[in-house]
Amino acid sequence: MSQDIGRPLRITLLACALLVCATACGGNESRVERPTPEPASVSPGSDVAEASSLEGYLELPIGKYAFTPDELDLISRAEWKLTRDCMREYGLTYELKRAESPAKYQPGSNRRYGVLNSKVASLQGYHFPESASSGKQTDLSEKQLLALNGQPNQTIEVNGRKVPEGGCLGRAKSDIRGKYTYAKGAEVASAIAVDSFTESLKSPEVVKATRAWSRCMNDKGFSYGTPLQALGAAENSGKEITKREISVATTDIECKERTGLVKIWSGRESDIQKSLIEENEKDLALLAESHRRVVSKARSITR
Amino acid sequence: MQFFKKAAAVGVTTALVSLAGVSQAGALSYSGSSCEDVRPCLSLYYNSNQQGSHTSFVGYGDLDSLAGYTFASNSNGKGLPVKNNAASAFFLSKTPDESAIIYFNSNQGGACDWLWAQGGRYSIANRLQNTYNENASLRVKDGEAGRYDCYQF
Repeated sequence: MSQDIGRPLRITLLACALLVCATACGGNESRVERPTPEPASVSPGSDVAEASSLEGYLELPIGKYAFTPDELDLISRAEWKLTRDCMREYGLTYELKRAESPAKYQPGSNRRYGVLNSKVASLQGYHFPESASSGKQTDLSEKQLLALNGQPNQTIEVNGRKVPEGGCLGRAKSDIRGKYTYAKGAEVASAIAVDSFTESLKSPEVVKATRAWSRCMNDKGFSYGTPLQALGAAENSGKEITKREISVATTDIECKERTGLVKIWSGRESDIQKSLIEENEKDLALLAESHRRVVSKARSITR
Repeated sequence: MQFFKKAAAVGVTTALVSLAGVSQAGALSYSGSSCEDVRPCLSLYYNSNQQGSHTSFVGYGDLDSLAGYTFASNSNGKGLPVKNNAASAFFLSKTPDESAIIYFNSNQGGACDWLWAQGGRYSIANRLQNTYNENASLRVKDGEAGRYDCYQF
């Protein structure tokens, strides 16, 4: 993955910091309406905000073993084709709509280190940025659902034909990813992506930087021990976004910038991941090889 | 593998308030012990390998915190809190692209487990290896943008 979202822009963030101070000092607890999502509109990621410089630190070494957006797009097209063909075998239509282009990063949506995008935070506080892709598909009939999903632990028939395990979707997934992905390698990679996170939380450098962040927050009148505590706090997760929440979220980002917390945290995670990658070199090489087979199979289906 | 929990605190069970029928605005809807033929449907189980009591959420969107939800179906673990207690999951979808993400922390924060759409034995998380005992919030989306939310391997 290449998010290409650059490095910290201190001048921009200083400007944001001044804005935050002005808002935070107000102490106004009045509520603001949460913007109503518009599923049909263009991606908020492209119109409302761009990925921030801090979000550049989300790129971690294990990412090179994950599928790229283009690969996922190809696999998705193949799975849709197999699913439609399978539904046809049962005399059923499948007219649901597929997104036409590869998904793009939605600024503010990766909250591994808490909130990182001040523009999104200045609108949404700690609330998750609404996604244009979280729209609704049309409903399916009972028969369509049976053919599509099957029935766990049961053998069923639709229109006189036996439904495969997991239904038509199950077969589509199994025929591509299921058959070719090196499962152990996927588990190893997945575990590395998380073990590095939990390990980094105990790292002295991260603990020290987190304390500095907490002091910075405290200086602004907000008492939180960690960015994830601020993210998950009840007062920042209400049904409505409050002005205080927005002040806390934007100050949170300002303090991350001041203390270098995200750079330190991401750097520590990267070091941990590099070491784990080296320890699991063989399984990860086999995983990469299996991904090439998955992509090749998907390409052959979409031709 | 049957995986039983440490949390057998009976007192906790009675103190918890069931949130049946309550849904957050623009969020996933709690549907209790059944998906009610609604897709997508994410079910979280008390034990690994989709064993024990489970509770389900339907539709698209976010659930900022699993706090307050309890395992709903009649089986081992019924009534215990879902938060930090789900050991496995099952995700039923109606398109190949729908995905479900389970996060370590509330408000979609921290590390995550990504589940792909329904696909036989490959659609399930027999063991939430990443967010096990930490699961705190959810996100279900239509579209394969999960790559940016949570690595897909």
